[in-house]
Amino acid sequence: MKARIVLAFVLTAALLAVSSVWAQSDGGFTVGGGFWSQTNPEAKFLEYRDLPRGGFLADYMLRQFSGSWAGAVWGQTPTRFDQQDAMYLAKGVRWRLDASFNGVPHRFSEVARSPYVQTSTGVFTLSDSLQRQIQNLTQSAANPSQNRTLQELLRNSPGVALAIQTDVTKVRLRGRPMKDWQFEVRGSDRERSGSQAMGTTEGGPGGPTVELPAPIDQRTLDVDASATYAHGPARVMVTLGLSNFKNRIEAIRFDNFRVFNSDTTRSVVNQMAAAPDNNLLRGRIVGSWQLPYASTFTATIGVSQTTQKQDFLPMTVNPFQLAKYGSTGLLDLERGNLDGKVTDVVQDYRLTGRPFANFYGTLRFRQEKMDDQTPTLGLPNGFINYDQGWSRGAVESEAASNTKTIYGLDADYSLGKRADVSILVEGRQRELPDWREVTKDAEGILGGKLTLRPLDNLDASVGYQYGQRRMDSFILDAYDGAEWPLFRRYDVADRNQSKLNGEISWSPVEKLDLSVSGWWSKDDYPNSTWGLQSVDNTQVFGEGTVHAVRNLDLSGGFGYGLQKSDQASIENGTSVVADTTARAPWTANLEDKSVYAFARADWWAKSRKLQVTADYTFTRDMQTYDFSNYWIRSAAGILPAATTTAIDLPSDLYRMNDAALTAKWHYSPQFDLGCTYGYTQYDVADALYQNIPYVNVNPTNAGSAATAIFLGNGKLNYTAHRFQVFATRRF
Amino acid sequence: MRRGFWLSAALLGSSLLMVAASQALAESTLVGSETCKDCHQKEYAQYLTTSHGRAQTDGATLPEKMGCETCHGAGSAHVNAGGDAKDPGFATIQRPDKMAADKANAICLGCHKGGEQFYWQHSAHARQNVACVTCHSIHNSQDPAHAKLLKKENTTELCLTCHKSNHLAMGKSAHMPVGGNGMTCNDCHNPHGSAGPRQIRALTTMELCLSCHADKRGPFLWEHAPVRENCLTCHDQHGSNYTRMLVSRPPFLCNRCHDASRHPSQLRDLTDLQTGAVTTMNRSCLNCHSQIHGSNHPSGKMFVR
Repeated sequence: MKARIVLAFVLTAALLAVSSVWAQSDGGFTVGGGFWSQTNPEAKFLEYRDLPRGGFLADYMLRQFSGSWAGAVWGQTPTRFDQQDAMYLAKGVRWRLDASFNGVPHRFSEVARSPYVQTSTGVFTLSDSLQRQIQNLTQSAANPSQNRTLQELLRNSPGVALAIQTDVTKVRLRGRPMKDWQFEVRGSDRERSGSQAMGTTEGGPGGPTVELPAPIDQRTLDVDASATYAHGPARVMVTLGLSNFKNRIEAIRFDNFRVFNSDTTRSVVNQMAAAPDNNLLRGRIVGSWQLPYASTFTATIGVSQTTQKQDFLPMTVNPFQLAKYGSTGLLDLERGNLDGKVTDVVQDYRLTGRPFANFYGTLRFRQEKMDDQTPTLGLPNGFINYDQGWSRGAVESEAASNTKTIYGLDADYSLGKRADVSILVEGRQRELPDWREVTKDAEGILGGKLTLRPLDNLDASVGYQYGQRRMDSFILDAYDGAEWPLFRRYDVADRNQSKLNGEISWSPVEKLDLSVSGWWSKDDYPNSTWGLQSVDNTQVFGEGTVHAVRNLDLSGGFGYGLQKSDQASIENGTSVVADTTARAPWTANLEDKSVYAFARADWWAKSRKLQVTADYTFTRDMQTYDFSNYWIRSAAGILPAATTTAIDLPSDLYRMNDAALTAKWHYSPQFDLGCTYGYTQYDVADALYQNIPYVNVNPTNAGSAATAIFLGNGKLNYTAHRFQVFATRRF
Repeated sequence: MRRGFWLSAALLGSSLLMVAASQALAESTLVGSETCKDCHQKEYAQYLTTSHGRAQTDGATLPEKMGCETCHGAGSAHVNAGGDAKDPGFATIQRPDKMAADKANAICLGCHKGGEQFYWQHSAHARQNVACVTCHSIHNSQDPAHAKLLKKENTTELCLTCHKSNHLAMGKSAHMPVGGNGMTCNDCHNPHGSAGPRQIRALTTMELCLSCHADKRGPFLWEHAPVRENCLTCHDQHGSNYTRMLVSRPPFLCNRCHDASRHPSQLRDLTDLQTGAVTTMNRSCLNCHSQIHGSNHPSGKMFVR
C-alpha cells in the first residue's frame, strides 16, 4: 500500500516536471547522507521518527502554474517510515484536489523478548518444556538459582519488535462550480500494523500474568461529502459521512503456562477478544443567518449511528469446572453477537454578535446525547473471568447512555484602546447511565478576564474561573453492590474547580520580545472522604527573542509545570464491607514536575553565505510519591499501626538533553550545502518500568505465587550521536 | 500652554487628513491588477502563484477588473497619489495587516464563508480579535508549496507562537507525534472554528478521539462507563508524564475510582515492588485488565479478556 502511494506521488511529480503545458514552475529538493549511533537500543530515540543510516531524500517540492491551472507536489523524507507527502491540483478557485500521505511510526521497545511463538496471527504457543520449567519455578518460588536460570533462558528468547506503523492517506476534492455553492468530498484510509505489548491474566491464585507482543492489523476508512450554500445572509451546510473500522485480528489466543503438570482446574488455551469491527454513519446539517447588529445565529444538528456485530468468541471453561458445579447451559449465549447500536445526537445553537460598538458576545446552547440502544445480554449462570475461574450468579450487560447539556454566555466589553473585560457564565448538566452511583449532576461556572494594554509595546491579561459541580444523589446500591459509602469516583464526585491564568508580553525595544504566561488550576473534591481529594496544576512559561545584531538572532524559553494530586483510600483485604472505621486507610500524594527549556542561536556570516544554527532542548519529568497508612496489612489480617508503615516508591525521572549544530553554505541562490551534528542524552529512573524481568515470581507467596511472563521491555538510558550532510538544489 | 497648542494642531491635522482620506476612498474606482503590477512587481508575482491569483484567471469568479482590489479596495486614489505618501489618496489603499481584526477579516470572509471557515464568527480566535492575516500571509507565506499561505513552515510552529504553554505539554515524556512528520495541531483543531468544544474537528471530544482510535469505538458488550463518556477522564491529550498520556500513574489512577475490596483497594508501595507484585510493576493494573476500553468477550466483564 505504502509503496504504491509513494510511487503515485513520484509519478505525479515526474508528470508535473516533464509536462510542457506549464508556463511557470519552481521547486527544489534536498538529498544527503547520515549516520547515527546509540549506546543502548532505547526506543525513545526513534519513537516517532526514522533516522536513516546512509543516503536519504530529505524534502522535495515542485510547483507548476499555467493560466488558471496550478499543481504542486511536496514532501519530507519520502523514503522513510516517518514521511509526509502532499499534492494539489487546482483549476482556478473552482476546483481543487488535495491528496496527502503520512507515515507515522511509534516505537515502544527495541529490547522486548518473548518465549511465546506466534504460530499464526494472534495465536501464541509455549513449548511444553518451558511450561514445565516455569511451573516448577512457580511452585518453588523461593529458589533463587532456579529463578536465575529461567531468567537467563528467557533472556535468550527471540526478540520481538514492539512498534506500530500508522499510514494515513487522505484525499479531498473541493469544488465551487457555481455561484453560492461549495462542494467537498473527503476520504481517508488509515492503516495501522505492528505489535504492542498486551497483558492478560490466567487468573487463579496470585493472578498469574502474561504479556504478549499482540499483533495489530487494522484499517479505518472514512468518506464524507458536504455541500454549502451561501446566499445573502443565509448559509446552509449539509454533510454526510461513513466510517468503517476493520480489525483483521479477531482474537489473541495463548497457551496457559501453568497447564503442563497442573491439576484439571487450569485452562489449556486462553483467548482474548480483539477490538471488534464497527461501522459509523453520520450526518450533519448546519444553518447560519446573519442578523442585525453584526450578529450571526448558527444552528447545528448532527446525528451519527455506530453499529457493531462482530461474532462473540465462544465461552470456554475448563471441563472440570463444568462438572464440579453441574451447570448446564453455562456456555450458551442468547445470541451470536452484540448487535450493538449507539446513536449520538448533537445539537449546538449559537448567537454571536456586536449589538453595540464595544460589546461582543455569544449566547450558546449545546447538547450531546449518546443513546446506547444495544440490547442487554444476560448470562444467567455467570461468566468465566478465566477458564478455571467461574463467577457464578446471573449477570447482564449494561448500556452506557449519557447526555451532556451546556449553555452559557461569553461577553467581551472593550473599555477603550487600553483595556478589555470578558465574562463567562456557563451551566453544565450530565445524565449518566442509571446503573452508575451518580445518575445526574450539574455544574455552574463563572469566569472573568481583564486584558490591559497600558503601553503600545506591553500586553497583559489575567483571568479567573470558578466552577462548582454537584451530584443529585449517591446511589450506594448502584456502586458495584456495596462499596464504601463515603468513597466517590472522581469523574462523578462533587467538585470545586478554580482556574487562574495570566500573560504578559513586552517588547521594550524593537530588537527584543519577551513574554511570560502562567496557568494555575485546582480541582477540589470536598465531599469525598475516600477517593481523589484534590489536583493542583501550575504552569509557567517564559520566552524571549533578541535580534542582537544584524547577523545574530537569539531565542530561548523556559517552562515549568507542577501537578500535585492527593488521594485517600481505604484498604480491605477480603470481602466488601460497607464499614469505614475498622479498615486500613491510606493516602497517596503524588507530585509531577516538568521542565522544558530551549535555546536557539542563528548566526550569519557578513557575506550571508554561511549560516550556523545551534539548537538546544532540555526536558525533565520527575514524579515523587508520598504515602502514608495507619494500619498494617499482614497475613493475620489488618492490625492498627503505631506509625506509618507505607514506604514511598522511589522518584521517577525522565530527562533529555538534545543539542544540534547545523552549518549551511549558500553557494548560490540555487544551491546550498550543509551538515548537522546532533547529540542526545536520555536518562531514566523509573522503578516500575526499569529492570522488568522476563519471568516474575513473588518470593513471599510461594505455592500460590503470582507469576508473570513479561516482555522485559524496560526503559534504558542512552547517549546518541547523529551526523548528516546534505545538499539543497532549487530551481 | 504651548504643548497644548501643538497637541491640538496635531489632532486637527490628523482629523483633516482622515476626512480627506475617507473622501478619497469613497471616490476611488477600480483600476485593475495590471496597474498595481507596475509598482508592486514582487507581490504581484507571488500573488499570481496563489489561489488568489488564480481567482483572477478563473473566468466569472470575480467581477471584471477585480483582483488585487478585491482585498485592497478600489485603487484609483492610491494610484493617482503617484507614490507620494503625503497625498491623502495614497493611504486609501486597504492593508488588512494594518486594519482592525474584524474589519480585515470581513474582507476574507467575503469569499471564505463555507467549509472550513463556516464557524469563524463563533470561534475563540474571532472573539480574541485574531485576524486572518495573523496566521496567513498572502504575499509572503512560508509553508511548503504555499498551499495554505501560512506565515510559518508548519501549523504546529504557527500555533505555538501564541499557545506557548503547549511547548511544555508537548515536551513531556508521553505525547502525541506532534511535530516532525507526524501530527499537527490542525489534525485535531480547526483554527477557524467548529461546532465542537475547543474548536475541535468533530462534534464531540469522543468523536474526535475515536476517528483515529476507531478500535475503541465499540460499542462493547462490557462498557467501562467513564471511557464511554470522555477519553479525557483518564488521558491528557497534549502530553503527560505518564505512559499512554495518562493523567496519573496506575495503580493510583485506578485507585481513584476503585476501592472496594481485595486488590483494587490496596496501597502499592515499595514493599510491593520489591516483592514482585504484578499489580505494581510494569503496567500495574493494566497488566491484567488490558481491555480497559471495553471488552467484547462474553466473559470480559472485568476487562481481562
